[in-house]
Amino acid sequence: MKIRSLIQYDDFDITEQYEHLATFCKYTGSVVTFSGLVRELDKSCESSTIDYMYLEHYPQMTEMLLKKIIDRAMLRFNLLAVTVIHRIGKLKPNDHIVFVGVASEHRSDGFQSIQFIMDYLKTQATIWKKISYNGDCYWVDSKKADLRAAKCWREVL
Amino acid sequence: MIKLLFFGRLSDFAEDVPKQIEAINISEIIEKLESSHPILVQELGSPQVFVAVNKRRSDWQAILQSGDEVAFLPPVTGG
Repeated sequence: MKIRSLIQYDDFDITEQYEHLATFCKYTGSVVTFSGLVRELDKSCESSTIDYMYLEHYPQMTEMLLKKIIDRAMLRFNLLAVTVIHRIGKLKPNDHIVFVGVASEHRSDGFQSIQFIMDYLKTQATIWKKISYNGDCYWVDSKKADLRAAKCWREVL
Repeated sequence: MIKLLFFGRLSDFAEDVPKQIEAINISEIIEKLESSHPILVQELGSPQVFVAVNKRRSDWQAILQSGDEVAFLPPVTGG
């Protein structure tokens, strides 16, 4: 499958995802991957270890937005295969949150498209994080830096 | 009837909001919640909150029809 786009509770195997991207097409000369993890320590938690992170999403809308982001990336960059997996539910420190991987002929399309997909995923996909530490819970605020980064691409989804 | 959904931090203020409501537009939904849920309504007034009708981003002036699903969405924080 050229595009893999998944929202799931379960963990993913990075090696398996890499293998898929590396072997999908004979023109592939570059595979770039990114994985996001739950931090054990977060600056907003006053040096306390995070107990868990909870990720909520808006079913169906998130999937539609992910598809839109990937479609735009495929139009903008020369990509042979794209995989985006975002986990939801209750995650522990060091657990995977997100995987983005792209196969392309050349590395430039790979590096840039990963940045593009992540910038839009962070600012458009209907997913929200809640952090629990020391028995207290708070919803994570969006970051202005993420909005600025997405704006730089000048693409309206 | 219009189905109502609140996500992220908005859900903390909307625990006892009816799941469905009679309304012809989004302003009417907000008016109906104003006296019972003033903090929620204040949060909905934030310029960063956006609204979706039937899982598509919408403007706040959208006209609603029975069976529509309206979701109130705070700034997203995935990734």
